Amino acid sequence: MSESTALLERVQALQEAAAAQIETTTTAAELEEVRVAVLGRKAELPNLLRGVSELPPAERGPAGKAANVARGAIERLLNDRKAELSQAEEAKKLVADRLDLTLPGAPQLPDGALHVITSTWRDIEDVFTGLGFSVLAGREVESTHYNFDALNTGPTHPARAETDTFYVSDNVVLRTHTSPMQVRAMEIYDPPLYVVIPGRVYRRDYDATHLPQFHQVEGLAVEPGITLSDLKGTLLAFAKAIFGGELDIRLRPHFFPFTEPSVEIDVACFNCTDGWVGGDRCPVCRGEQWLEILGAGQIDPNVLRAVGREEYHPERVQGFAFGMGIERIAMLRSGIPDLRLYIENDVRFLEQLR
Amino acid sequence: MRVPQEWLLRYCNPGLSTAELEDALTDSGTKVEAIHQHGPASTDGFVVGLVLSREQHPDADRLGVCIVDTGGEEPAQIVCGAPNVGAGQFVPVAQIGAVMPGGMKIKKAKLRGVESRGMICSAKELELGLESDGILVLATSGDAALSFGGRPAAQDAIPGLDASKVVVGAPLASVLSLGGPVIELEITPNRPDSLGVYEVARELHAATGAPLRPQKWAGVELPKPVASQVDASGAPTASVDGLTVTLTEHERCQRFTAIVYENVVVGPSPPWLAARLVAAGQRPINNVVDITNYVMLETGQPLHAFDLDRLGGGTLEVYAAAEGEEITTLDEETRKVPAGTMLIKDADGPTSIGGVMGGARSEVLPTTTRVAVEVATWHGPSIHATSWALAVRSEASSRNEKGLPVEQALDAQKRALQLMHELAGATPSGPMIDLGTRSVPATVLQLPGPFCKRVLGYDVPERRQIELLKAIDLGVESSGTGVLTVTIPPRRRNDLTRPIDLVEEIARLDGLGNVPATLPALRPAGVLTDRQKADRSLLDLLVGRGLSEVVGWSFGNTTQLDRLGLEAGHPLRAAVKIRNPMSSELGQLRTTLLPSLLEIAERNVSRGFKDLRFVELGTTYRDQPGSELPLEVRTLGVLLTGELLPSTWATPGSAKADALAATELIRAIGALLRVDLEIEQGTPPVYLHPGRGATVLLGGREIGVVGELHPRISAQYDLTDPVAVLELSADALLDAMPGRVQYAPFAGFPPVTQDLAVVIDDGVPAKAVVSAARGSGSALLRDVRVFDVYRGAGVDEGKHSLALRLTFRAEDRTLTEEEATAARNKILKTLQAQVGAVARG
Repeated sequence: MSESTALLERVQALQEAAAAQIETTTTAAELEEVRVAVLGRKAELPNLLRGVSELPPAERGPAGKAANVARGAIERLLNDRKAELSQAEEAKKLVADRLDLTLPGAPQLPDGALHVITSTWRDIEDVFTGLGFSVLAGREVESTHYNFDALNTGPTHPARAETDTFYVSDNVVLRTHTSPMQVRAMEIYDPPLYVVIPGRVYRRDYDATHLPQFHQVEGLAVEPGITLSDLKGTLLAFAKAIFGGELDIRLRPHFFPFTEPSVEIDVACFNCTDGWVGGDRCPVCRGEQWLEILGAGQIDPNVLRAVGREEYHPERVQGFAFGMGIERIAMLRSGIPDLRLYIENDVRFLEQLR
Repeated sequence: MRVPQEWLLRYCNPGLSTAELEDALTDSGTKVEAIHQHGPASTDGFVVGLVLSREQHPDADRLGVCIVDTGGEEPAQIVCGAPNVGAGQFVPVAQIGAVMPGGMKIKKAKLRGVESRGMICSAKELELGLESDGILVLATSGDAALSFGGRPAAQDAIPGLDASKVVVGAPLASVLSLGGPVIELEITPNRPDSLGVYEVARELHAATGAPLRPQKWAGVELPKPVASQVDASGAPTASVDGLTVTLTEHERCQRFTAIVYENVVVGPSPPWLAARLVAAGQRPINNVVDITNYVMLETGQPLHAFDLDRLGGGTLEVYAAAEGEEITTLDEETRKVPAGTMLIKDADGPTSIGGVMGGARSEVLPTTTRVAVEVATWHGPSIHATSWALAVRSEASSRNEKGLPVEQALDAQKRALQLMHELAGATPSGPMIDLGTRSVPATVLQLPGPFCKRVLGYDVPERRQIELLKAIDLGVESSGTGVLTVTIPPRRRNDLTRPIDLVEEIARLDGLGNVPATLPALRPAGVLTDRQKADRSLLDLLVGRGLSEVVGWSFGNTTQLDRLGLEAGHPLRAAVKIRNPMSSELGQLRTTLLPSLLEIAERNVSRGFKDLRFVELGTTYRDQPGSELPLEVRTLGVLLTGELLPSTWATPGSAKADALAATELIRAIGALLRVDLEIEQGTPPVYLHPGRGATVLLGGREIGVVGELHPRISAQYDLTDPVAVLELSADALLDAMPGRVQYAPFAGFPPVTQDLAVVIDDGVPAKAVVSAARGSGSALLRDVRVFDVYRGAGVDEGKHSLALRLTFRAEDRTLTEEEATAARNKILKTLQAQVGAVARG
């Protein structure tokens, strides 16, 4: 047996021994010990390689190559084992890190809530922006000109009485509706005008069904050719969006000084069938099957004239206007029984209608 | 207005059920508010009974045991508690099975051990609207022996009673009007013409096409009017035998008519009339007074009857009250009337408030024999003002305040004349007094054919338009060229003055169910502006941080401002005062959101909730000298008190709300809206904690406050934990928001951070240190952040250490530590020079 053959056999044996050792390690530290033992400075295999130079030249090649291959193979085994061990260790650590995820989360950041008036207000705005309307705001302390005169409400109209309307001075009131913005908007913007005006309004009434301050959304669409049919279509789309489903609306004749024809609009009760829920009279519509939700009509020509702009002359444009109560719609949708809950701001109310 | 259904149907009967009538009226614009049932819903089981005997109940002092003949084979035993029941009375009996107006079904019962088969009824139990004092005695036989088929010997004055039919066993409905449905209508202010039964019938006719019967008074001839003169003061005056009327104030009393009746027989009204009055909600009094009420209900025109013998001097003068005048009205109240109130006086002084209420002194009594029936037309708004000022609302004032047509006065005189003759045996003693305006010209309108479709969006054929307009008594002529000429008799409708008004009539009578639903074809895209979106985001930010939005009163009061300790002349005292507030608590408009936030907190604390986080985004109002309209500012208010973050199993130790919780919100708001908000801790407002309050600046301008409330003020609201607040002008924030942000490339080279701890005097605000560092001129400095504050060992008294984290970065290379250290040292030098900082150890 030549020297080189012996060497090759030794390399083979060392490689096999190393492989066996690597296989049995269980920790990264043990593996490091093995690495030092088989590939370290004092280990046999690297030293064997140094001995290759002493072989006859013809045998150096195969021997050296065999030793290098063995060394490479051991290194691969070491690396593989290292990866295996670290995965196992990680898995063990993760198991130890287990959390009971049914415990309360932390930190407990508090929950906020929009007031139901604001969330309803936004819902209404969003429906109307979808229908082509933009949103305007108007002042709350308003001149009698915009609140009454320009809206075809004469100086002797009962609504102007101090028993009904809050006065700041003879010519200044807290607006009794969002309608003053009708004429203000038409003064500022040219037709076609499609706007809704949500806001706070005031009337001298205070009981379970009236608050001296409440909120309305005014709507106004003015351009040549806007008809009562367009009013119905617009508010039908609104009612379906706000109350949900394929419900119907009906127009009833009514009276407002600033619209002609004037109508009140009822929406079919969304809560019942023919006024009954199960065997009981529907609590939402009280069996009436219809819910009154707003007043509307075609803008009275006198209102268009009050704008005083040629662009809005009643011979040139026409349109519709409507006004609805935000509290009323929130009441219907959420079953709120008493208006005073809105102003009390009890945290249980606020959080309930989140 | 309450309209008994049978009265309405007497004039127009479309053959509909009550529910169908309701729909027909509501759908055409006369809204039915409610249907009332006058009397029992079914008359089955209600009969006339004769009380044969009454014995004391053996076990109950107040009960009697009656034997009542109700026409059956055997008399019934009925236990009755009424004190007035006695043998010989004809009484209404609800038999076993009858259903009372309240829904109670009569059953066989035992009362204190004695069997009772039925119930003897009072007028109240039958809901006949009559005063009730015990059972209703229909008649008294006078002789209890008159049993079977016995006729009453006498009768009480029961309105609506047909005494001729009172026999034992007779159905009660044949004897008494047991009512029927009463339709309650909402009459809108533009339709005073509908405030009478006949005109409601006309609406029903127009809505259903059922024929309208003529007015009962259609053929009545009134006496000729007497010639009027002008008195010394220039007022028109007229006299007939026994009565002189002077119209001093013509502007507000447009017409005044009067007819004198002699030989009037005052007595009870006939059953049919009294029954209708009761069903309509009026109390029968005597035939003359009842006639005035009945005629008003039927024609819509109020009228009044004076007892001429008690009218001082036989004169009536219509005039405007002077300052301080008093009058005793029919309800026996003495009222002081405002100057200018329309009064009617006789020689002894004021006797009526014109158009509102008659006086007690000249009312018609059973002894009256001479009567003046007055019908006048008043200026509506004046009546409205008087009625409100005196807090007197009557059936008359609620009609007169709408402004009635002058022509309608004669309808009432005619109907009254007819009924005075029929029911009180009286005829006019002479001509009629008729002062003021007798008629106004009719309005004539041209209605072009296409106009209806232009407004409504759908076609109503001309033939139909003509039919509908004629149904409401308008004159219509078709030109043949598509234009309708429409004549509106002024006595019919004073609200029809323009073609558009006719379109409304056509649309409502044709039926709004015919309106198709369309959408405007050319409507634009609807959008929220950036500002409107930011306004929502602002609230959403705070809600996202756990705050609940509240909606407080716009109203406030001076006490709230006193509680904040605001001195006189403080800007928050410039409140807009309400001239006619609901109460003094709601006497002015709020200048700050804080009081209502505090009151809401106080209320919630009192209900056991003490960890509170509130935000309000609403308007505050400031009086602006020299401007009629106040300043309205959209304002953001926040109140935090109690635990902010609760202690949990994983994060022990809770955090309570304090001033820093509020300043952190300021930072977040600034970051959201991309505006630079600065905290300036100079002299805080008086209502804030002197050491924990600041103002908030935007571009150097003060736009709000932040901090903790002064503990003395929190204590007034029973808030024991610190109360952190902020209040900012949302308008200022939204105004300052930059436009749409444009993309700017960001460098790819990594930053280097270094920490720097400096010791400074306690008086130096952190803001000054940070801004000195920023201004140090280091071009590499990107960010300065305070990450620690230290007081104690190693730092002198009166000083504290501030640890800054400095972030450096170069845009063109990876920065070395050496470069960063050099820049840090430069910053330290600046801090030493500018804020007296000393590097800490």
